Order: sequence, then C-alpha cells, then structure tokens
Amino acid sequence: MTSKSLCFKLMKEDLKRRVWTIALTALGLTFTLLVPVALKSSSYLDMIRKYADGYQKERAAEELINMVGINGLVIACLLTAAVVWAVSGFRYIHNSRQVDFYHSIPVKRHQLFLASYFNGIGVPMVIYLIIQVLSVALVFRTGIGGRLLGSTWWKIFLVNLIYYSMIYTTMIIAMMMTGNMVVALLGMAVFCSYGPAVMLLAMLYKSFWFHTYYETEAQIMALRRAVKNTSPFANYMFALGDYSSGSLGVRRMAGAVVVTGILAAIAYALYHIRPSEAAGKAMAFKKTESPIKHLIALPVGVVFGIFFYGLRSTVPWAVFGVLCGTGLTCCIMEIIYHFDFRRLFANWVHLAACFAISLLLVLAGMYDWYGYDSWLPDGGSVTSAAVIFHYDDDWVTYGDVEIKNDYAGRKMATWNYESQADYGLEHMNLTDIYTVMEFGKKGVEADKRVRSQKEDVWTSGERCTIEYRLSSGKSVYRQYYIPSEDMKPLKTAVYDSREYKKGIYPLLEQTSSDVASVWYQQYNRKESLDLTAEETAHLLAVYQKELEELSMAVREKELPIGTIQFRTRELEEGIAANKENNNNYGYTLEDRCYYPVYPSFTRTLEDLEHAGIQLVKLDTETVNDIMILYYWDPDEVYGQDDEFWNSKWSGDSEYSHTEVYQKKEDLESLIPALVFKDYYNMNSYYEMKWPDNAEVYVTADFDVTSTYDDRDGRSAGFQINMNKLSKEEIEKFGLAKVPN
Amino acid sequence: MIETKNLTKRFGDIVAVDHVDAAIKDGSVFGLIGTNGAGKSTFLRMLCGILKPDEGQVSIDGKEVFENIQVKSRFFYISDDQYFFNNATPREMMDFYRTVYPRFDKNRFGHLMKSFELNENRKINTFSKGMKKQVSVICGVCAGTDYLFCDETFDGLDPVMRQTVKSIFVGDMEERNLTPIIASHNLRELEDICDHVGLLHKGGILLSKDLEDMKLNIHKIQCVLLPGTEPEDMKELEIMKIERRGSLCTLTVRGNRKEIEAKIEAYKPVFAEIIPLTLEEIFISETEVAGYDIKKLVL
Repeated sequence: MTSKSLCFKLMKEDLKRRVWTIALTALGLTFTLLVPVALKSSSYLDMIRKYADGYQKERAAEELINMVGINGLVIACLLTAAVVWAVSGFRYIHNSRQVDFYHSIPVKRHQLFLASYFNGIGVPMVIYLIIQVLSVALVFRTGIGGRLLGSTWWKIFLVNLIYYSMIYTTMIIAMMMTGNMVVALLGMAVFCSYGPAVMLLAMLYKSFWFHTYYETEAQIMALRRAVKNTSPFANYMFALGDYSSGSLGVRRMAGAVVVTGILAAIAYALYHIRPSEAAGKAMAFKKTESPIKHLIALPVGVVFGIFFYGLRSTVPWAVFGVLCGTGLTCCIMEIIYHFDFRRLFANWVHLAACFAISLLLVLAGMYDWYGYDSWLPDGGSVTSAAVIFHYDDDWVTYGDVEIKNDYAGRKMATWNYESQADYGLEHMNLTDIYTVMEFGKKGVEADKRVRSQKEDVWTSGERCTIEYRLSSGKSVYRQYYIPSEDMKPLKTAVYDSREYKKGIYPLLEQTSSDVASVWYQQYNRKESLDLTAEETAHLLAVYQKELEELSMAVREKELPIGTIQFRTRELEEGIAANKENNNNYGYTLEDRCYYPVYPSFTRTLEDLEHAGIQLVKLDTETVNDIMILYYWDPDEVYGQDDEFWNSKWSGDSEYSHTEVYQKKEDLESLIPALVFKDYYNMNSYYEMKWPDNAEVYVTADFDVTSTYDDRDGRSAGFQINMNKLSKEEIEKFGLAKVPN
Repeated sequence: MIETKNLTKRFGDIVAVDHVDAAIKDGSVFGLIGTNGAGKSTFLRMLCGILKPDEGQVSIDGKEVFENIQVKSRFFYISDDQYFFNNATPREMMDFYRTVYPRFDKNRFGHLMKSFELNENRKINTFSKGMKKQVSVICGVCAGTDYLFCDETFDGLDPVMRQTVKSIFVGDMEERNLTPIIASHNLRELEDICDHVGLLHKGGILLSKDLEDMKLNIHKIQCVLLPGTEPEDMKELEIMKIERRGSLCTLTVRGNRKEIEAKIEAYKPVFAEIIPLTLEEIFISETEVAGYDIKKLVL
C-alpha cells in the first residue's frame, strides 16, 4: 500500500471517529453565522417593504454585510473549534491504551500525524466555507449582494483560515508537550498569554520602579508589536483589527502562513520525538519541566512583590509578595507535574532559586541598583533636547483631520488626536543644554529625596519630560517631578526660547498656502475674516512672530482677549463634509486649532481691526450686571438662628444665595477683576486667586455665553481674580470666607 | 526470528527492562513469565515498536522494529487492556484493521465471530471483559501476521475459551507458522502451549529455555528406600530437592531419565517411580538453583 493512499485511508478512518466534532462545528457555525444572517435578511426584507429609504434601512443593510465579514460570534466559534479539533485529533497520545494501539499498528507516526493534522484544518474549514457561501447567498437574496461583490468577504475567510490553522497548530504543540488534556489546555493558555503578560510586566516593572521612566509612543508601538508577535491569539485579534481598518496586507498574511508552517514543523518534530510512555504524565518531556516552571514563577514572583509593595510600601511586604508569588507558582506546578498534592515541595531548591532571583529583581528596582533614576548624560554629549511640561498649554490641539467614508459611503471627518508629548518630543530642538541639564539635576535630586522618603515630590512637584539627544545618535527619555520653586526659573528660561514654542505650537509650522480661512473669536462670537491671500500671509506671519516672542512674564500678567484660528484646507473640508451629512462632529471640529491673542499682540490686533474686526471690551458700558452666587460653609452656619440669617442676605436656599451687582461703582470694581474662564484655561501661568466660595455670572451687550452652566441668561464662564481687588472690595463683595 | 540485544528501558529512576538478550524462534510459542512489574509489558511494547529502547535493539529477522512498517506489518499486538474505538462494533474494528493489515482475513473474522457467538454489529463497549478479549484475539489471528504478541491475553477468558484460543493458535502455527509470544504472570496458563519460556524478574531475564529441554533434564522420583538408607546418601544422583512424607520420599533430580533409573536401582529401593513434572515444578527447581524463590516471583 502506498503511503499516500494509506494516509487518505487513515484520514477517512480518523473522520469516522470524529463525527461528533464535525457535527459540533457545523452546528456552531450554523447558529453563529447562517441563522443570524437568515434572521437579519428576513428582517431586512420586511424593512424594505415598510421603508422605501432611510437611515434604518441603510443601517440594517450594513449590519447584514458585516455579518459575513468580521463576525465576533464566528471568530469565537472558530477559536473553540481550533481547540476542539486539536484535542480530538491528538487526545490519543494522552492515553496509554490508545498510544499502544496506534503505535503498534504498521503505520508510520508521521502518517498518523498528517492524517489527524490535515483533517483538523480541512474539515472545519470546508464546513465554514459552505456556511459562509450559503450566508452570502442569503445576502444576495435580499438584493444588496452587489455590495458584497465589491467587498472582499472571501478575504475574511482566508484570514480566518490562516489564523484558525495557527491557533489549531499551537494547541497541537500544547498537546505534544503534555500528557494530560487539562495540562494541555493550561499550556495553551500559557502559549496565548505568556508573551503579552511578560511584555506588560516589563512595562509595569519599569513604570513602577523607575520614577524617571517615560514611555514614548515608539516604545508603546514596540510593546504593541511585541504583544502581537508573542501570542497567536493576540496576533489573530490584531489581524482582525487591521483587516477591519483595511491595513492587513498580503505580506502580513504570508508571514502568518510562514509562522503557521513553522509551528506545524515544530508540532511534527515534537510528535516524532515524543516518547509513547509520556501518555498520562503532566509533561511529555521531563527536560521542559524546570524551564517552564522558572519562566512562570519568576515573573509571578516579581508581580506579587510589586503588588504587595504597592499595598504597604515596605520591604518586608515586598519580600512576602515575592515569597507568595514564587512559592505558590512553584508548588502548584510541582503538584501539576506529579499529580500529587504531597509533592508540592518536591523541588525546594528550584523554589529557593526562583525566590532569590525574583527578590533580586524586585530589590534591584526598589533601590535602583541599575542606576536608572540617577542617570544623567554628560552635558557635552547632548546635542539637543526637548522638554515637555505636562498639563501646561493643554488647550493646544495636536493631530489632524481624517476624512473617511462611513458605511453608507458618505464622507465623515474625525479628528486624529496626537498627544502634546509626542508632538513636542518630535518637533522641539532646544540647544540651551545648560538649562536642560539643570532640569535633569533638579529632577534627580528630587527623586533621591523621594527614594529616601524625605519628601513626596510627586504630589507637590511639577512633572516634565526630557528627551536627551546624544551625539551617539541615541535618544534617552526621562521624566522628572521637580518642586515648583526649582521648576519656575527653569521653565521661564525654556518658555522664553523660540525653540520651545516651535515644539509645542503647531501653528508656528503652518504656512499661509495651507490656510483656507481665518477666524477670530471674542467670548462666544466667531467671525470669519475677509482677507486676501497676501493679507492672510501677513496676519499669519505677524501672529507667529508675536507668539514666538511671547514671554513668561507677559503670560503671568495678561490673559487673552480673543482667540484666532488659521483654518487649514483639510479642516475646512472636514467641517464642510460633516455639515453636509448632518454630522454634529463637524461643529466640534470648528473649535479646533484656536490660538490666544494677548493684549500685547498689538500688530496682530491691528491687522484684525484692519480686517474689520470690532474688538469688544468688558466695561461699565457693555456689562449689564454681575451676579455672584455664594455658598454657605455648612460647618459655620449650622445651628444659627433666624436673626443671623436675617442679618445676612436674603437666602436662596439653605446652602447658597445670590447677589446681583448692577450699580456702576460695583461694576467698576468688579469688571477689572473679571476673568473669562476659557481664556484663563489658555494661560495657566496667569497669576490669579480664585474665591473658593463663589461663582460669577455675567450679562453683557455681546454674547459671553460659554460651555459652562449658564443661569438666568447669564454666562457662568467668568470668575473673579481677587488679586485685582482691594481688601475692602473683597470684604464688600463677600468674597472672603462666607459668612464673615 | 525476534532478537533482542542488550534491551534496556528506563522510566525515570526505574529500570523496567534491564539489558535483556533474548531470541524467539519462529513457529514456536514463547511464554514470557513474570510477576506484576517484572517488565513483561514493557518488554512486549518494545518488541512491537511502541516504546523506543533506551539502550540495545529489537530486530525481527535482523531488521529494526521501531518505525519500520515492513517489520511492524508482520505482527499484531494484543495489549492487556486492548483499545477499541468509542462506540465501535467488531465489524468497524475489522474495517480499520483491514486498512492497515493488508492480509486481514475478513471471511475468517466473520467465521470466528460466529464460532465465538459474538455479534459483529454490537457495540464493543457493551461486551464483557472476556468477550472483548475474544474480539481482540480474533482480530489478532485474522490479521494474518507472522507474530502475535499477547499481553495477559488469557486473563479473563474462561477455561473453555482459553482452550479454544489455544487450539486456534496451534492451528495457525501449523498452517502458517504463526509465532505467538504470550506474556503472563500465570505459569499454569502457559504450561500446555509454550515451547519456550522466558522468566523475567526485575527487568532482567532469569532464564530462557525450551520447555522440552527442561523436562528432559529434570525428573521427579517418588520412592521408598530401604531402612537405613537416606536420600542424601545417594551421592551419584544430582538431587535438587528432597521432600519426605513418612517413608515416602519425593526427589527432584537433574539428569537423563535412564541414568537416573539405573542409579536409583543400585540402592534397591522398596519402591521407585518417575512421575511427570508440572511447568511450575520445573520452574521452582530451576529458579531455586539460580538462587531465587520462584513462589515469591510468580505464583
């Protein structure tokens, strides 16, 4: 008998014994794909009869199309099928009776392997293909099948086929390496989760112990890649995500096929060298027991150490955590290896070694034996740097507009966000290395105080991130928490430089050719400027220059009086597309990329006036009234009698009351102290003292409404800067402690 | 001929088969005797290529067994707890065996199933232990192989079935030179069928001899000697064992029958008779000579 015909005969015999698996697969796919598609098709046909056109119909059509694309239920069914087919095909190697039977017959082991292996891929995939084709046929019956012709529904079949094979082959490797089905399933769980878990642990370790550790976008992407490439399950999920976004290429799929091929070769090699007597044991290969135990116990020990240290922040608790983690893992694995609870301390030397290594890793992080946090570059080796002050200027919009087609083929624009840090680290080139090094020194000093537990700079200090670009071409990132008093002079020095501003204000990179329109906003009034191209270029250049020259000293004293937007062509297109499709997101896009105009931006203001903008101002002529809502301090008013209450203002409620100021002298006192909150949010360096017991509402001749909770037609977008009031005025307006 | 050289198998610290050299001639019945844990099953599993030896080799007619299809198609292995597919009937098992044993005799299978009064279409998992053994033996003899490895196959068969199976083996030995290799812990099961016996103990073969040779070289004599004559006085006889019941002595003596008769006549016994030895008695004597107490090993 030729080996080829024998192989086919064996495949046939194998299938006879796996009828239940075939039935289960067919049933699962029928109820996760065919039946839902049939139900949805029926519902869609009803909808066509009821509605000639409309959103609901479009939505239902889209859902129907998606069902034969990426369908979560089908994916879950295929994942389960991959495990079930692998287990049913190779479970005989876990049973000594069956091993005796199969290995005594005159059939080469590779033929046994190939028969089971290919049945486990071919049969379920044929079932899936049949059900997929039937589902597509049902979609065609509804009349919207044309959309499927243009789409690539068959590609999802290929994606699922390839990743089914990868998961299936991985499960077979788990079966080969073990001698018991439960242990094999645990092994599969390890194969699917170990890589990502260790990658995440590495990230946790660095971010937990290294106070100056900063994770860049590139590192996050590297972590993402590592997670994707160390687990077949994660790889499958990422592939589905990429398929959904249209970025899953042929190269990636070919890579997955190659990986599956390599896994299949490993599975075959393991089958070939696997001793028959391994059936019934936990692990098929004795030599793998210790490495696997160590590979699991070490990270678990570190995680437990970090967890318990996180709870109590003391060394004994960290040691306890490490002991728990390594002890539990080693003992559980010994019990599994021997199938005997009494063997939990069968290898105490390994346990002790795991404990010692895990503890060493935890202590090395705890005391920074690596010298990571105390590292500072040699000033001479730093060619340039970038410094990011987190939470400062967080009003700046980073990113760009992304215009895509929605399910109905309509254009939809969304904002593709980028973080301030990512933008700044990429675009900032500070050459004042001395100041940058001072940040590093102050940061390291502060961290040493934190480590010696003399000071908690994390709560009192300010956070900044530094990228040191070294002459070797390497970039090193650190983040520091520096006390405010140390930070302020350094921050001023950096802020006043043009290089810093170029790194945090994307507008400074904008060119006039990219400007579609210019908008100016005062309080809640937006106006489009009617400018020629030359005027636009001039205004942009003037504004960019004044923004570049803006100093910390000015920002401490001034608040913006308006905001300006140089709207790009893409943003204009996105806003127009969303408005055309009645997408409300278009209105939020309009608010992106506004920059502050300070009173000292005189040339900009001149250009604006020249362009016809009427600059508004809050004064006794334009402000109608100012209402202040005062909150009672419950502790102080508790138990006061009526006489007390009557001696005070007429109360609105038990906890608050309001007072409206309309008199000219009151307005003259209050208006210079009025702060429009939206403008204050654009300048956190402004020196201001808020009353902690009052809210301010304003009505004016022009629209001063805001995003805040307005009341009685008055804008709640204001506050009072008590620095601009005298002590008497503070007393008069009840802005000190209430009641006083 | 099956030959093992220096055959060794270890399971962790346990040496299950310890440097065994053995030769099993074709056309004879080889009995493999030993206590539980003596290494019989391990030895058989290595003979049929299930287990890979740690040391040494197994060959059939000079060809390695492990992963050699040509060689493996020459034998059929019946384990002590034979595996049948879930919910399979004897007919379905036959269908499977036919795919891997080209010389499988379908007609004989049907005939034997009828003879043993077993229903071909009944699920095997509803059969009794003995019936399952019968099905496995029928599959084994119908596979048409040169060798049949039987691990405790007679355990569970009733005496009638045991004799029937033995007669089938004998018939196949005559017709097509079948060589059954039967492992058992029970000497009495093998007594009337084995030509050659190997005794395994703690992984090693204590002895391996033709039964006929053993029977010709060892004899049991019941005698009443003259008063004043003790068996120990008969120095010319190579006496292995002496038992006394009053004046009746039972002697186990090594040597040729005629020589023994002549030597004992010289002492003019009151009564002397040579009686047949059972396999058990032969083994007891042989192993005692080797320094072992067979009763502890096998019985």
